[in-house]
Amino acid sequence: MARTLKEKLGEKWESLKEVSRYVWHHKMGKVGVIILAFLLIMAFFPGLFTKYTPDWTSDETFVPASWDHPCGIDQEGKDIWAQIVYGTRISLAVGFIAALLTVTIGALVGTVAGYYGDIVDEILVFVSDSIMMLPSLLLLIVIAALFSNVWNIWYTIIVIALISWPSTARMVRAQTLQLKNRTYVEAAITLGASKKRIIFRHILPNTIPLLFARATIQVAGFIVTVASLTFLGLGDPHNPDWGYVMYTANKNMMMIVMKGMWQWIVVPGVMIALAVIAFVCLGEALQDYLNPKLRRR
Amino acid sequence: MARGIVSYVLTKIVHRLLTLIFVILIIYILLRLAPGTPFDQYLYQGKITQAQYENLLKEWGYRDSFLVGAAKMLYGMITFSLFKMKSPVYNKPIIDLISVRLPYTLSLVTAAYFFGAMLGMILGLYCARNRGTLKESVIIWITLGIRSLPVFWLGMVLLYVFAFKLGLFPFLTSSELHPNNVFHHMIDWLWHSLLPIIALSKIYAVSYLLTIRNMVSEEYTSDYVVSFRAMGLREDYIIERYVLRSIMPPVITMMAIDLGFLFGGAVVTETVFNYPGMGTLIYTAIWNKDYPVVLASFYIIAVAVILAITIAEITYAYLDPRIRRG
Repeated sequence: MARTLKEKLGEKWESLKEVSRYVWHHKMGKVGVIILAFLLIMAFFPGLFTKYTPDWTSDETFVPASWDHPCGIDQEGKDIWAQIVYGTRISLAVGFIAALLTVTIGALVGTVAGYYGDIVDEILVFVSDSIMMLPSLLLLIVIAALFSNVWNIWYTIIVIALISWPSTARMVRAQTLQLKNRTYVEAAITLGASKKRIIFRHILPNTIPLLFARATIQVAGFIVTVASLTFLGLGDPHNPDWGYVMYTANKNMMMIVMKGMWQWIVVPGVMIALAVIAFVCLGEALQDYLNPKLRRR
Repeated sequence: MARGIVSYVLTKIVHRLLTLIFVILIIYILLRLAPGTPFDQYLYQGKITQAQYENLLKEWGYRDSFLVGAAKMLYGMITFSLFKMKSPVYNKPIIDLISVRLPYTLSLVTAAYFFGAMLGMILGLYCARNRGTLKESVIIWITLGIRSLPVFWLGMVLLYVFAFKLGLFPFLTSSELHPNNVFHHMIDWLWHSLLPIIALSKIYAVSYLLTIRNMVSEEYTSDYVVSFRAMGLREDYIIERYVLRSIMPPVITMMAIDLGFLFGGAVVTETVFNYPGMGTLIYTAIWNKDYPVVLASFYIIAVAVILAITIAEITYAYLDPRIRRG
């Protein structure tokens, strides 16, 4: 019965094709794919969208939008549209990495809590419940501000992951409790499989599809969270993202009003909105795919 | 039955008290780990000598050992004497600072919450009743669009259009108080708070709309509603008597939990509008390393969240007996 690696990979490839076909024919999924493709092109080939770089500086400051500078020039003489285009990569990357970390921690804690049960479960549930009680954005602001002199984008990612895993863990734990009593897991236990093997070979793989849908939606939330942080001036100025552009806009509101530079405010917000719509739509499509009861409707 | 719910409530309360201590300890550890004190700038500017600096640190407890500091803090929390402590930055008792700010935040968030939640519920119900029609999908797509706009961005746009361009609202929201004239005071408050209320209420409007719509639609396809309809019961009657009643427990829980978390969402909104509430108080306190104020504010917020969630859980258990046994 042992399958060869090629067969296994082939199977994975087939299911991947099925998922993508489903998402593409899903109304929201299609919107998500198109927007995400656009954003990814912008992230990987920023040169296609602007001839300036974020480092480029002009002698003039506060120049309203023109054909050459679609969003105008900011207080330091930098091209705003270039900052937005180059910020795409940072905003997307932060969302992706934070979601990946969150889901990983959540999945590990959830399966361990669900599988080991007893005291391990109680402690882990207590810790995750407690973290859920913290207002996460407020906590993130506190941490970023307290350590602001050494802060960089990696700390943001790690702290987001450290305070966001509990809801994923709760979901995975519930699933583990269900899976634990399935016959094939019981059979594996009787055959003498180790706990580690059961968790990694039999339980975790079954939660992965759901985790994927969840992570996709989380990316959207994290992009906004990070933008809120940078908007408050708690970002990494060496890696400016969309929130940073809005931070400088908010600081120069008076000049924006005087010069009528509304693009400075509007465009970065539209970019965030596009990213959020893309990930939420993709997530919804994936969830519908995984939930056959809804699919039939 | 009665004993079941009493022991359920007691376990919950003990659990929550432990959680409260855990949460506050996390904040305390973070504050201890963070570098800097409020007196650093005086020292750098040469306003005080090194010896004076050390004395100040000792006086304000910044030189306490970790355990002594934690014990002091816990004692202050249990006896509520924490709020009588002075802030080293303002040299005022914390209670004075908070009592000025808290009403602003509370009024802002409750107004935003009720405005948003009501709008969301009404539209959500409307969508569920018109499931599959063009009207519904228009509302849903607009909602998804609005959902994806960050609150602070919405705030900036509202400020730009209504405060700066049209000049209808003030752009600095430090409202003047008219304690002698309640009516005047209310109008003034509303004038200063309307834009932040609109920006903040967006979160609740969107989340209630989507949740209510999904829950009601799910009930709509359930067997009992279908059979009631077949029996010829009026649609309004089914909604009122059965559908709304059956979605009540989760909605009440959601409301209570949201109410607990209202504070967190207010910080960013308050910053955009320069609103004189708890959010801006905490924000400046963090920058000034004004740790007693940060701790006391977090204490209030944590208590509010935990109280709200506990009440939600108990109400839920009361409304849905299955939870009590489980």
